[in-house]
Amino acid sequence: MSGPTQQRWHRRGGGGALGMLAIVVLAVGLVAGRADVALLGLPLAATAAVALRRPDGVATTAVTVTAEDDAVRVAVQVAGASGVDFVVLSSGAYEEPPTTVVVSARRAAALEARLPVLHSGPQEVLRVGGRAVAAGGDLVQHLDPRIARATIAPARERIASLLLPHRLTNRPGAHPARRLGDGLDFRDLAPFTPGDRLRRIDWRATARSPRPESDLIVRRMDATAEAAAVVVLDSRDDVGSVIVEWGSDRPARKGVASLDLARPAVLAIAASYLEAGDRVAFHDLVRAGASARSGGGRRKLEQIRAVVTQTLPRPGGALRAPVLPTAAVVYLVSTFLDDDVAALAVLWRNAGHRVVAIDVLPAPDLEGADEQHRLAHRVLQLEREDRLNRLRGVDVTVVPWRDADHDVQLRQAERLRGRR
Amino acid sequence: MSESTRPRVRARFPIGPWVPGVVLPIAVGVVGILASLLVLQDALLLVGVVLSIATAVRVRSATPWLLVALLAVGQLSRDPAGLDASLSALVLGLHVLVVLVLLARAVPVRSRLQLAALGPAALTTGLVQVLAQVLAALLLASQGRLEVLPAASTVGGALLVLLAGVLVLTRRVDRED
Repeated sequence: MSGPTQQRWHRRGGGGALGMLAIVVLAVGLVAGRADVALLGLPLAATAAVALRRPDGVATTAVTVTAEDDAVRVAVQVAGASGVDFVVLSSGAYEEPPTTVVVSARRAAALEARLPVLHSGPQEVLRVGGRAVAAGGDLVQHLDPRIARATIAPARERIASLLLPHRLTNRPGAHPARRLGDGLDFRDLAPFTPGDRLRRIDWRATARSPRPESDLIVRRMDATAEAAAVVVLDSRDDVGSVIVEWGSDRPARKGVASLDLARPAVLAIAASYLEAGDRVAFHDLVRAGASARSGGGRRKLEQIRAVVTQTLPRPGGALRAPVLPTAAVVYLVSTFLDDDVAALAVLWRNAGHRVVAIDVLPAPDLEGADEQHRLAHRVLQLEREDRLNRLRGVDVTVVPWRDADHDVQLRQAERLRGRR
Repeated sequence: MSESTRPRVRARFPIGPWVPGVVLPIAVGVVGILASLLVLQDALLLVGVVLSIATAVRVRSATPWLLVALLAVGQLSRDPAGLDASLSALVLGLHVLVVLVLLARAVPVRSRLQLAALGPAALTTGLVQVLAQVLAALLLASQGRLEVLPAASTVGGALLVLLAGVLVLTRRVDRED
């Protein structure tokens, strides 16, 4: 918030002019011997005298923002001065042009409003300015403008389907592996060998066995292993659903934005893997520092949530491809509006990773678009569709997150294990 | 360039009963016209109406003070022997006019004006009007029977000197600030 700069009362000049006029009217009435004319000057003089009052202290503004589930509550307080007649308060929500209310000093001490939640992430919620007015309208003190910002947490979503990498890690986990181990899934029966645990001996099978009595039969089980998942976010774009607002960056007009889809997508994917006991890493393709190293557990989820919530769009940022763990499943969250990210997906797929392209471009809203806009959007969409088809062609799973059935699409992809 | 037609998002502070800010300049114009009709005649009436409209449109200019001066001149041109209840109405109208002018200069036209915000101005206006209307009633009652002018001149002169002194002092304090 900006510091105080205009804590000073100043006159607008109306009271002085009125005082002079009152003196003239009174003087004319008295000189002309006209009490009725002099009487006209009396209320003018009284009003001018009222305009001479000076309030005590200076008024200051405080704005607090509280994010709730489905709304943002803003509280504005103008206080600090006594003798204020009213307060002219201009407030603009979400970078929209301001609207003005004129309220009594008492009301200005406790103003509250609720705003809809439009986007997730860090954002400007309310910009407040105005002036306190005293002395019947003749004294004015400009209030220092305040900008209230808030960081809105993304919505919590869940996905039920986990795509596993082509190879699991060697660490024990929740997924059945193809090697021998101590999991719960039965693999086969085999003769006892040194190193086998005694509790694995299957006595019934041993008794039924035609082999000599000295040969014990043990039950062998599959091992379990954990998966390594990497979620990579392309934060260069934050395009909204309203096509005519692309490039204007007016948060209240652009509709659902791509980062509004991307943040919950990243969190839903990370939460699902972490709850299954797997390891998850998060990388921002543009901002190298905004990453969460591979790890597991609830604290890792909270770390990823904190990093993703603070993610800001960085248009024109250079892509920095992260180093991926061996045989990970990679979720690439992007709008795929250019070839750079698609090339990364192909690169990672060719390196043996399982790659899932999460398309977070919102469903287009062509309201208000003229013919040029529609044509440009059509061309862009065709190019994008070609790009996504090329990804499908190299066995990259493409999931449009804007579709309500993205979980179903992930489940289908889970069944169709592609080439290794 | 095409633009989104989505409705604007606004912080709607609940402020209770309110009127649009444009009501104030409209009220200035209406009161100015009524006062002109009350006290002005012939060509001066036309000037008064035009000034009233100009005041409503450009309330931050000098036209409000010209209108007040014109109304005082109009009262001066009336026959002092024919004072009637219109004097009380004029005292009220002129007072309300200047109060509204000061308010309208401070309140944006495009705003929601909480009625309670007008409370201090209304209270002061009411208190001053009690005194002014009593004086007007005394003046009307004493017309032709009491010699009120010498006494009024003395009191008015003292008030004038006092007001001038306060104004000079205030200017000096403002300059020192």
